[in-house]
Amino acid sequence: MTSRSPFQKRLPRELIQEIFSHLHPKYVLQYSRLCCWIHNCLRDPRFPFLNLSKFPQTTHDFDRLYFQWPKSYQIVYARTKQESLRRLQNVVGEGGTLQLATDPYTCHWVLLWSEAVPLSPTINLWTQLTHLQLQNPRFLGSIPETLGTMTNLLSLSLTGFTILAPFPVFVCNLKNLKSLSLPKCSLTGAIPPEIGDLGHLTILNLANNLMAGKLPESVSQCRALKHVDLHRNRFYGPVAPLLSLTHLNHLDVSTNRFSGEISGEIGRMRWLEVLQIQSNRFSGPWPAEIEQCTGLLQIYWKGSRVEEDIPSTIARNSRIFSALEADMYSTDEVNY
Amino acid sequence: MVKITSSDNQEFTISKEIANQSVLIKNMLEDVGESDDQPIPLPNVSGAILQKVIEYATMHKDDPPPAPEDETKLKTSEDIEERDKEFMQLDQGTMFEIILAANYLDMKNLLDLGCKTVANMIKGKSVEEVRKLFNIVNDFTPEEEEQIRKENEWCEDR
Repeated sequence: MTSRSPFQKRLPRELIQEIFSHLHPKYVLQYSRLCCWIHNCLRDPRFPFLNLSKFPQTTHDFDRLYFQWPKSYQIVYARTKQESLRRLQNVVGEGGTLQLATDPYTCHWVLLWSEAVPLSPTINLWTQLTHLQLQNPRFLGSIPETLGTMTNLLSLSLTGFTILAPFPVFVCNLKNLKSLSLPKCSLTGAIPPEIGDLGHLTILNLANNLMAGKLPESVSQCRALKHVDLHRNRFYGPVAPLLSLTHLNHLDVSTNRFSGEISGEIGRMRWLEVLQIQSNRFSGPWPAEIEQCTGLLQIYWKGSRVEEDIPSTIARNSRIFSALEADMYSTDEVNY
Repeated sequence: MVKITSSDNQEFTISKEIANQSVLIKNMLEDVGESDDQPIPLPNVSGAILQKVIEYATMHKDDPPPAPEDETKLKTSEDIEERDKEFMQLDQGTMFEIILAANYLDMKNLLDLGCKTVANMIKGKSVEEVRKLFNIVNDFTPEEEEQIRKENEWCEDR
């Protein structure tokens, strides 16, 4: 045996990929950290194709854990699922006006339809659908309540709609929902207290709407939330209900009218990496507990009216990008 | 009969049905035609490895061509014939040389066998155990490794 591993010196990319493709997709990616070369081979977009082709039975795991799979796997999965959804399309049968496609970037199902046909009530036939992304920049109107009966839905994303109505409460019936994304929909009103029924929700994006009001206390019941984006709305009052969500990884409440002090509860958010509170009406100093958020990578707070500077201990923490520098890039263009 | 020579100039004479298991040799034979008596040079494979490869090809020369439905059946790495398992009882160096040779000679079945065998050696082991087994040097910085570990945490956690 030489001291050099064949894995590092001899085997070309296609052989590394061939070998690792025989390992179950659920476990194989942990081996990415064996060494740089293997990492490089496994992150190649061709690898998921090869890997999944050897494990055609893994789709069930995909349905459950869709968002945790790497994007490259999601794309392959989306392509294999497309066929079965095409069949569903025939069931809906809207005289060819309904079209289904997969968004190559987000890998979500995109349901396209002609302007003449508004979001049809027959959409509830799609009960098998787990991921629904609708895009219609010219859409003006309301979301049919039948959407609330698509109880298998794991993710719902509407972009570019002009709804000009309060947040659709019936969405809170979709108890399995993991991701709810309604940015730029001209939604009005407050977040309804029923939001607390969405116990599996991990992503909540209501950015760039016309929403207002105080956050309902029940938000704190959405314990699974990891990513919350409420930027550019007119929410006011305290952000306290959000600060008890200890799994939060990304919190953006920027460009709103939130007020009050940032409470010490924030110290319990050990997973928090990105915190954006700029352009608000907060008061008081940073709580000393912010130092317990050891995972923080970026903080944006320009114009948040939080008094004093960030505690020097956290600014010195090498894992934080220079907070001031980051502040310069803090724009409102961050959309999801 | 077909003559082939290894990188260290060892000459082997093999039957055509054995030679044809290598798509590379098969194509070469078709190119040069039957009449040519010149040995086919295989500069990427040593004599010792070629010997093993011929051993494998001889063992499988009477295999029926795979039925189309077997394609899916044979996909799991557990599905290895007993005689093939025995054949792969080799030191690591030889094993990897055979995989490389199978790749070069374009012998799908042997390549598959080699890759599955290595995959089975990895299966169920921790990253640290695999590094030790194959002498893989961790060339990440601790920060990089931690980041990759975190990205893939979900697949280690069960």
